[in-house]
Amino acid sequence: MKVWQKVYLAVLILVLFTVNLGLFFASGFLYRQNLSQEESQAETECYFLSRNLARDFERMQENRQFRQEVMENLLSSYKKSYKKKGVRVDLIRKGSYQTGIFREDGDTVAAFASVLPAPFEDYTLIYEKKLKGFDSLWKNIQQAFFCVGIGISLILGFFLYLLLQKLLLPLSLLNSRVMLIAQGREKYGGEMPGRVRADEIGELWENVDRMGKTIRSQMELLETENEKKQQLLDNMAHELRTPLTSIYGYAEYLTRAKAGEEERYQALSYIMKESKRLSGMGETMLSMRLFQREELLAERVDMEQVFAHVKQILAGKMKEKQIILKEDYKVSEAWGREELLVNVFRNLLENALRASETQGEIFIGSGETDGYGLFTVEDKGVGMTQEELSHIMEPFYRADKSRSRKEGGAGLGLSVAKLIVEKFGGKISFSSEKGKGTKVFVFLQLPDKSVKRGT
Amino acid sequence: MADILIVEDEESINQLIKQNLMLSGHHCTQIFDGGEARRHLLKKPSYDVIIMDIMLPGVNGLELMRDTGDNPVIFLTAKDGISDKIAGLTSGAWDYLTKPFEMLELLARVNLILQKTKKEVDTLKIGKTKINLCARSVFISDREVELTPQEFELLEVLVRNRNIALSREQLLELAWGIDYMGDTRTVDVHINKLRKKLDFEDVIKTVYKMGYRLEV
Repeated sequence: MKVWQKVYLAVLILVLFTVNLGLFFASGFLYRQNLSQEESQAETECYFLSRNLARDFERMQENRQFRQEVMENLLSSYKKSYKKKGVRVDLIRKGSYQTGIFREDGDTVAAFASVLPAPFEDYTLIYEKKLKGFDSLWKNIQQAFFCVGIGISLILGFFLYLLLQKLLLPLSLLNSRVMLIAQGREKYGGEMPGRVRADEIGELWENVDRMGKTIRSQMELLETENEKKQQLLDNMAHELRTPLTSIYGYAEYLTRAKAGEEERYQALSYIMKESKRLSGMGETMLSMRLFQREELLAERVDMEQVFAHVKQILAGKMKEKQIILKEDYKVSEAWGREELLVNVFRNLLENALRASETQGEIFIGSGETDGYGLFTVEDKGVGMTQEELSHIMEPFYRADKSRSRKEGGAGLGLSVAKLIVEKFGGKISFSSEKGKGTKVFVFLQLPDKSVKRGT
Repeated sequence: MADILIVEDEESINQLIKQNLMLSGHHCTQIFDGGEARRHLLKKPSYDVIIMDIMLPGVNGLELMRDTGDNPVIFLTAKDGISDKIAGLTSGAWDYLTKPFEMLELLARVNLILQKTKKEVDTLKIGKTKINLCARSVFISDREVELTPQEFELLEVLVRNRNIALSREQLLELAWGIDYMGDTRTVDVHINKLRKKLDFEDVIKTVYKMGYRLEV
């Protein structure tokens, strides 16, 4: 049974019960009132009749006519005249008689007895009145009450039905709407039809709508995440396939071909190199996984020390390419972990080195912007197009495949750098122009501010 | 001996293809970059076969199809989606091979193209023995040697895959056909006959655990 039906029935029953109970008591009160009126009237009449009778008897005694037959005569004339009014009168001697109101043959009868005054106290007058008028009146009243009761019930039922329908219609609409959402055929709850109400049903509509939107955005988020993962997987499959192709190919060559000493050595060294690349890729991906999972404790890092370390690692390559390195530090501290930040800037400087021509310039600088420490690595090398720029953060992406592969990269460097920097509440952005060079901006939290923020 | 251009940015794979093709005596030119390939084809526009990757730095393989002219192209790429294959083949390439590839398959496809374009060198001289694959005849110092059709079939397979070891099963499949139900010992018997008839004791070598290899 639906809620509106339950409410409808419950309210209807309750109201009808109350109304009819009221009617019942009212009619009962009316009945008793009427009856007592009739009763007192009959009693008064009985009393007067007994007085009259006694006076008649007195007169008969004075005329010495007080005899049985005369008495009977008188009584019968009384009886006759009262019978017309629906009253039975009788005179009994020394007897007891049941008085009060009782029902006899479907009529209400009021019966009274009155002892005649002295000296006729031996006689008792009996007065029995059939309350015909009262009965018919009572019947009419009962019918009227019954009709009124039915009428009230019908009107009440009708209006209650309308009211409940109007109040609960949005609920059933919402119900079908939610069903559609559950079946995946509808995306949102949508606005409540008609006037927006401020009651619980209006709130429910609003909440369902909000819930739908949240679910939708969550789903969209999941979908893009999924796409990213798919992309990563595709890239990874390709990255794995290349070294595996060489390893398999050279192994096959070694088993089948008539190869000289030099070819054999070359084949073996390719197998070793490619295996190393594979294992390096595996390690990097594992560490990426760890970064994503683990909580890293940040600390105050001396950035000049970081850059000194990075320069030391890459000194050989820089010398080889005769790179001119320019440095300008205005901020020397940041919030992070030294060994990880070394990794980040080593990656960035390596990229800059790769992009640079021989005797190219690379600029490293630091400053403060919007409360963040800003560290930049800038080269005047090959640069990238906007298209390439939009992809560089993706794992396994390479703007210039041949160049970086030759140096053993797997296209994971920037992904790792991004992960690390974001782990410490910073961010990385790039600006680049094809043929003119690339500038990398690394924003890191400054130590004192971070401490104040309690991160 | 065919003149083959290899355009592949991955140094190790480029070298692998070259080494495999050199076993069959082909002459190879290696290029590692799309733009470089375009410039190179302007200078030297004619090759018997071009083996090319699709994902190349600079200019990609599909774009390079405009520069390859009438030269037969085999795409050798890691892109194995059906749409990639269709794009590759409709661009005018003769063949499409995906990485990882089998050496025998690459050689077979190269040989097929060379046969079709009649660029295949159908005579081979090993010592005093001259093998003419087209006329299906073998001479030792101008004296013709009688070979049964099956023996010649086996010799042809060995010659086409010279310097590469083939297992008995592979030889059975290539020389007798995939439906042949014979024993691998059939191969040994025929190899021995070839060795005796052509005096190839040192040319057809037994490779340990592998099979046989005709060495030139």
